[in-house]
Amino acid sequence: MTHQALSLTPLPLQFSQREELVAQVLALSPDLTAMDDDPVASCVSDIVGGADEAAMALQLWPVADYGKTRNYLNGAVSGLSPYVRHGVLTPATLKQACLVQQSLDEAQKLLQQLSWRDYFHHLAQLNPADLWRDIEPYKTGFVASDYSAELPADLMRAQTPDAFINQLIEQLYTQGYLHNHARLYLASYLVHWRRVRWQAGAQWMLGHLLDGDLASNNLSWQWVASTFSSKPYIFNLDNVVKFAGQPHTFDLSPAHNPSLAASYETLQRQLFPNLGGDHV
Amino acid sequence: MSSLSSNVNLNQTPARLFWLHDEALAKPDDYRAGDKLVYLWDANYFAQQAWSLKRRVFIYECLVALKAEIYVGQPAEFWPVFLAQQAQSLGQGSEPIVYVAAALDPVLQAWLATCPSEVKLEVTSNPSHFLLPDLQPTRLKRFSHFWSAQAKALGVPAFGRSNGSSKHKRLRKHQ
Repeated sequence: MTHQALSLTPLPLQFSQREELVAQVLALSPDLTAMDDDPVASCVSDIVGGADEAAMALQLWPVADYGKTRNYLNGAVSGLSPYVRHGVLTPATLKQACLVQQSLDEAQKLLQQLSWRDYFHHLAQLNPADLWRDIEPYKTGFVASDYSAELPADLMRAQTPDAFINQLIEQLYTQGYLHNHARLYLASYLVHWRRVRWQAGAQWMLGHLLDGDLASNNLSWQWVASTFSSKPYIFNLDNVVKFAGQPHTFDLSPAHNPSLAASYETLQRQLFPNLGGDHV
Repeated sequence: MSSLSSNVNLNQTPARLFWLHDEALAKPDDYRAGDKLVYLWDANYFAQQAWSLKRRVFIYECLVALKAEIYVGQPAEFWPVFLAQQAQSLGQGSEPIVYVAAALDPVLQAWLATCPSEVKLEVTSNPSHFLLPDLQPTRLKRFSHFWSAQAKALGVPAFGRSNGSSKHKRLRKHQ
């Protein structure tokens, strides 16, 4: 624990440029200054905090396209989750903004996504211990002890054999934000391809996401892992190509994504050899 | 909220103290000019959460936008000293109330709970937590169970669309 001298002088609120504010935050973070030479630790997102920025992003959000395109990595998602997580915006505000342009029926998909958050929060309040323990056994043919508690070094460095995965990790590091579908891809890769315990991945992602919410994050990881769902969530390169949208900047060539470029049947045999049959 | 005595000028409503935290970086709905927004920057709390620099920068930017007063310290040592200093200027008598929005994150809950018991803390509901804060779900085994109840409360069909005229409404918008 770091000793902090109590001061009744408030910290500065005016900075001539963002770099000065970043330096101020770094000076207030002795645990981070110890990692000064780590380029990942010094990243600052393009997403700027504040109510005005949130209001602007809300105004620019093409909410009418949300329902049809939300699963695409370039779809019309709001990107407002960092503001909601930190109480700058409320779910009710998002709902109201949606209903200005849409009927209740048309807003169903957004309301459903907001309800996932409610659901996770209700679960977490009811059973806080479930935030870090396996709610159910893995349905992968493996037991928890078969999974590593450590993150692979190549993954931490965004140097896995798969270019798409590396690009997602870099985006997580630089922006502190990922599309929900991208989070599922990354979680699935870590748990099922690399056989790492979901807890290690959840902790890692929480540290970087601007909108990191313990309940939503960890229970989603459990859903991917199959400790809170009936089967593991996996994907393949064809699925990524389908949902990457156009245009995109991802490297989706099969040669650069050897672990992902396979049919679901092949992947199931490779990833879950103990299961047999068609479980995915 | 403390009641006003009969000899207090009603136009001079006492300023209130709102303790902001990372789940409540907004002005409270009933914020009045003169109220204080206080944020306690505790390096140990951030280290415990293991949050990145970019997330801490985001939080600081939110506080700058709010013109909040940011102090360095921990709840246990900060609040008694700060309240003693502020008691007169706040005009609430010798025991000012600190209003704080409810928290969901267990680490944040534990951190807030380190506030000394002599501090008069009033926990308020947090509008950023739930879309439907009043819904008390009874079935949480899977999302589909919960969504059925939530959708009904929201007035939307749980699956598919209702038989209403939403298709026509959509067409109308593009004409």
